[in-house]
Amino acid sequence: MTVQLELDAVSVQFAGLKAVSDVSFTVAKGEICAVIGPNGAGKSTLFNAIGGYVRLASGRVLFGGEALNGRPIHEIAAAGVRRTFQNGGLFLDMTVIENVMVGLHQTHPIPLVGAALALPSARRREREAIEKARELLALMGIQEQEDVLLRNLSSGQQRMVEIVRALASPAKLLMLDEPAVGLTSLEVQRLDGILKQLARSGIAILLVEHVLDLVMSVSDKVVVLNSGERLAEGTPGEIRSNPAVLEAYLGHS
Amino acid sequence: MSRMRDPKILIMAVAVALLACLPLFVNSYIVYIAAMICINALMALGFNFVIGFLGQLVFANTAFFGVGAYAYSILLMHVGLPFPLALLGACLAGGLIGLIVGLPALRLRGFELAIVTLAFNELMRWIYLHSGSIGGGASGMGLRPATLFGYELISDTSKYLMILVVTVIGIWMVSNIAKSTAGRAIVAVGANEFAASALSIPPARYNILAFALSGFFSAIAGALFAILLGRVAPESFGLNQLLLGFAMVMVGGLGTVAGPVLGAVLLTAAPEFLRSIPGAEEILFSVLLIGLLIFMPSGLFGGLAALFPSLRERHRGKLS
Repeated sequence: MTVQLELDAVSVQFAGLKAVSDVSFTVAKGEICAVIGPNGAGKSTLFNAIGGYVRLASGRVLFGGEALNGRPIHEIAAAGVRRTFQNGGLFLDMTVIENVMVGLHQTHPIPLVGAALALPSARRREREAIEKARELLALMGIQEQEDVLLRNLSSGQQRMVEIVRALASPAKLLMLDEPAVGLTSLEVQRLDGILKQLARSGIAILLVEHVLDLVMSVSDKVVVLNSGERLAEGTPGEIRSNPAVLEAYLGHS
Repeated sequence: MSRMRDPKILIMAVAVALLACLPLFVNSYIVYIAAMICINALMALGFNFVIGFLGQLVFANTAFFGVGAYAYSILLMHVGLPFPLALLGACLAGGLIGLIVGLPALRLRGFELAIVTLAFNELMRWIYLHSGSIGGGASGMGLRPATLFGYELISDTSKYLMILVVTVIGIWMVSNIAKSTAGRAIVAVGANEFAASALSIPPARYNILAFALSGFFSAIAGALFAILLGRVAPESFGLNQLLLGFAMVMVGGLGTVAGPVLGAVLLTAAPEFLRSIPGAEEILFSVLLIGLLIFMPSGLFGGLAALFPSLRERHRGKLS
């Protein structure tokens, strides 16, 4: 399998405190890798380091063999790193389809002057963008809600919109920060299926999640973080029986 | 052809036609007020790009408005450009000033940005006052009438009709932009810069674009204002003008196209009815602003759109 993302001894410091220290692992194309660990283990910080939201103290993030660190967030996103946020990442006062169309910024841009004067070329491109957005919503089965304001959706539906939006432009790596929070068990099942389907299409998926049933079901690989350090790495089965993991994360059981 | 079937377009066309016929029915004072409403609507729309769509506390818009008025006057009187070119030049000058103010604004937020942009307004006023023979200093300068196809726009009616046409085109352009890639990106960056960046939207570019668009549309209003008055002077671009524009956007509804227009109509027309009662104008302003901020924080249009969801403005075009 081709490596899509490689973390090479990545460290992040906040005011002298190491939030992530010397973490290395890889995610291949089409692989689902879960990052688990107790609160404060550095899972979200790791996401932020990959996406360019925080500066690395040392180490490298390689994406398709190219170094990402030091580049601005929007360039990293344009290279194919897409993510969802734990909360607050959606535009609540926009409708479902408008949210997705913001995500089409890269693939369906419409020049300003043409748009302002409603030139035929701009109108055509806007139509193409709307059609593309509808197509994406239909894939997730939420096309019926395209004109609903985001704030009027359930948190499960909001999460689906966020995933559609993140994938609106070609994504090579999808990072999901606790996607199962606030989802019903039926919705978790659907998410499970969607993630597996996305991975089959060749997208590398990095998942931070507390819902362990989901983690164990979808992941090809699990990385366990504790106090910013990589405690263990392996298949879900190996992680489940790893004594160090049981000790640090799951408690004595 | 499909556009003609849209009832909204038809209603708009009838409304514009009726507005164009206004001078047939009312006296020239009312025509003058109607022209002021148009100008204020454009000014409020320009203001709205930064305080509404982008959601930043920016108070440089009277400066943009003033730059439009002065750039027009200078291009007309000193450079000798014909009126349409002077108007276009004024818009571009406003866009450029907007862009320049937008650059330092990338590093400032909240109150700091508000104070710096407020200071920029006062700086521009100081420049007008000390503009010597170029801008006429404290007493300003008189303008020759605008000439269109060999016809001089001297009467209030002829000025009003020209201003109405430019305003309708301006509102149409703003509403097109709000429904385009740029409009969506500006709103997204304003709502959550990180979430927008995560979708490959460069926040700096759209911050600056919002300022430039704000300058562009405010400057059209400024140029039209100079044409309507037939002169330009520093006293028109003080804090009162700023508060007026701010109140129009807040009362009408931040972040929409219809809101600032509605606010401009109300706050331009209402004081005319209150002229005979001393102090009533200021009281109305204050009460409206305070009342709305408490009971209808999204403004009159925002409140209406909450009651009637079909009124809500979209950030996307139409399929048909």
